[in-house]
Amino acid sequence: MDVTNRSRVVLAVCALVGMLAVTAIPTVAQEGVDLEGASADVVRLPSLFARYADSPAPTLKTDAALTYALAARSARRSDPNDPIAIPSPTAVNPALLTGWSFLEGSPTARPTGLSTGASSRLTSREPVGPLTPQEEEVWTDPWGQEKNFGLAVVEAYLGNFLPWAFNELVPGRAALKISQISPRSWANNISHGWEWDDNAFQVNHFAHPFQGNIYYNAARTNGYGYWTGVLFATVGSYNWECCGETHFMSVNDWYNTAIGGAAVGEMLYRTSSMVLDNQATGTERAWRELGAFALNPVRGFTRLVSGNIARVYENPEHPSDHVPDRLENQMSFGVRQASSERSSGEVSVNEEGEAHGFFDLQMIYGSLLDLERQKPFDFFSLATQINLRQEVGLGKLQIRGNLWHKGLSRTENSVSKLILVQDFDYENNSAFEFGGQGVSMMYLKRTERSERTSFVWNAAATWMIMGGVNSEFSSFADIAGVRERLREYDFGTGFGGRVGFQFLRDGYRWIDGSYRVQHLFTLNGSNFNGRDASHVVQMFRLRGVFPLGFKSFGAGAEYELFLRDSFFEAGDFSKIEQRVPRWQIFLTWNPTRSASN
Amino acid sequence: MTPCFLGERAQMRLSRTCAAALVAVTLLAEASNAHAQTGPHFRFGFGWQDMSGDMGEVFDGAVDAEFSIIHPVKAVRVGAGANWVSFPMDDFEESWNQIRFHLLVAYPFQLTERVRPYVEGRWTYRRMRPEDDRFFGGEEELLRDFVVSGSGFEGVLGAQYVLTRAAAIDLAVAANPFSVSPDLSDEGLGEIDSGMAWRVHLGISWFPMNGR
Repeated sequence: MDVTNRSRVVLAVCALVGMLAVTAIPTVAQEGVDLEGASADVVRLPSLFARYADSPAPTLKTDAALTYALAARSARRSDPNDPIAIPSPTAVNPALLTGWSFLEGSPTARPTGLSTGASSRLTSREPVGPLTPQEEEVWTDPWGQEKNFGLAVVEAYLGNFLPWAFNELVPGRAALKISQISPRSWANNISHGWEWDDNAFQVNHFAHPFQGNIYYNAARTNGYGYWTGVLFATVGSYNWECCGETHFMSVNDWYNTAIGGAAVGEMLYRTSSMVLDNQATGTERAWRELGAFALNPVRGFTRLVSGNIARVYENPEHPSDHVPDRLENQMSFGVRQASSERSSGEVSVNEEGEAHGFFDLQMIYGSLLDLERQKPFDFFSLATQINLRQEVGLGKLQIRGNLWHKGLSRTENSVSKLILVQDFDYENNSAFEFGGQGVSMMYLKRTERSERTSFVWNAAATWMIMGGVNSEFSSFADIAGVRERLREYDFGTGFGGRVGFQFLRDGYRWIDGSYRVQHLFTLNGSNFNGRDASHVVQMFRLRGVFPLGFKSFGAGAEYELFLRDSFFEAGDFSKIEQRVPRWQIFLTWNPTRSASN
Repeated sequence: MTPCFLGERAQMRLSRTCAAALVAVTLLAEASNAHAQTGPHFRFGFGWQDMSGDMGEVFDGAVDAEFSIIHPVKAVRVGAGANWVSFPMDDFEESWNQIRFHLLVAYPFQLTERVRPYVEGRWTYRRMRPEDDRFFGGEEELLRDFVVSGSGFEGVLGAQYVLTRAAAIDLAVAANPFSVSPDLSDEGLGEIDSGMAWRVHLGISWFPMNGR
């Protein structure tokens, strides 16, 4: 007997025994099962279920049976002997359909030639045939992307393989020998455990989060949500730390890549969503896809592989998945100048910075106070600054995105909310370095004074889970293994708070002020050889913008003050204070303006 | 049909459990007639790599690791990957790192059986370098960057044992004659520039599309 025939015999015997076993259920055996109406999705429930339908608390353990019992309880019958009409199991519980997920929310149909597009409506450009049950079952995200775990893993893996190949094959990088990986280096790294590294501030607080964005978007652009993206970034980053280079595994890299990668990645995902238009064709479509590819290369690759890059189908229905109802982009060009004063007791060092040009972009995506869905980053704010003729071009990258929110009050003239926010901070200039990632719990309130004016203020308790700030004794940091450079900043963690105030008129943020205080207990850096070190950072900012009355242009000025009080057990200086005042004047352009909060 | 000492509810539960178990056993038995697996797959594995020939006089065998991405094209499979190993040296407390890239073409047999042999041909490109004292926690990095590189052809005989539609165990042996340039005389090891790498490999093939 060959394998196939033996299987058939086994199947037949088991089916027979199974039938006997089922008929052994006493109640069913006595009262029978009538499936006459099954073709119309109506079955006569066996009295087993009818009995449980009258029971206050069904005790059946299996999901399917419980579903039937609950359906039976809700059915209305004029006569106890009438058949009970219940929908099919998949109609009672859509999650029974393959491809549906409790985690990802309600499904939308797939955008194929035979299906319904990202929304339930069909495009006029795609004639469609009748839907088959199998095609209806495919889950897609709002952008019509089916979940594709394999492609997500490939993209995340390429996110490690390509940088490793770059380090191995490019002569200047190869000389660093960080790519000489082997099972020996992996075992060595894993057995040694976590260490801290001495990379430059922009590498640890910008480049690594940008790298994490690749892992994050490998999942995000393949049909998965924010939290799965965080998981991908965490695993992808660990994979790099243990096995992508010969350095000891760096705990600061792992954290910054995973958590920072989620913030940068979701920001870029949302930004590229605003550029994409599934309904566009021809040259416009090509430019849009290219633009989205430039913003989010992983997404471009996914759309290329999946074919969505050239398919004409529906855009997402919800504005927050495409272009939010409220969006503000404010670009500024101007001149700024900063100086720095460091003092300890009677000793002080002054450094006067040169005035230089700058460009910045501030984006307000969505409205915190009008949030409806509990989807991370349905609101985020982005602030970037590019400094000209400076050693470090990217002076600022700040991202704040919602993770959770709860409405507290809403009246005719005011609304208030409690919001859990993910914070990403990066400030790097000739005077100071400050950055890191954390979360904050924020109270936000908006009061309408008239149809044209409103006030918004907020107060937040912050936790910088891991951050960095420049410090005088960081170069003595305890770094294991090969040192590449002398680090100039400490890693730390700590709590803090911030308050903010805005005056809006006709959609313009006329006045925008904020104050923040952040304590950082040093984890690695100036606390070398067991000494304690900590920092208190304060940042004050006041910005005024006045509309010029044409083409959404405006003019403004801003004053910022950075204060750092550092406390050491090392060296001759137990406390060092740094004071960095900055001012800037600029012109603004708001191509899209519907400011709110 | 069921033990009479059990209560009505217990009998019902026992019967249903038995029925479910029998169906599961049936499905497992049916699975012995394995489905053909198509679609892209990844092959991860560890193995033992050693050398003969001139290089074999210098290097000892060591554990290696390999990764390949493979895609079916009609009757064959094409792919690319990389292999990493750190060879200890005979009579020295030093080691050499080898990074090897490969392009492959494979032909599988018995696509519907549980055991599926395959033959594979590979073009390989390897880079070998003496490793510095990184593993010993040295304070300074040695930036000496002596690299020898070269290509070769590798023949692979392997077999996959299908576990599920999405996974298979992969066992393979391979031989890879190669040459590199320059030779190792700059390192005081003589005019050695070729060898034969032998490899035994055990790993897993993962079909992320469930073999479809």
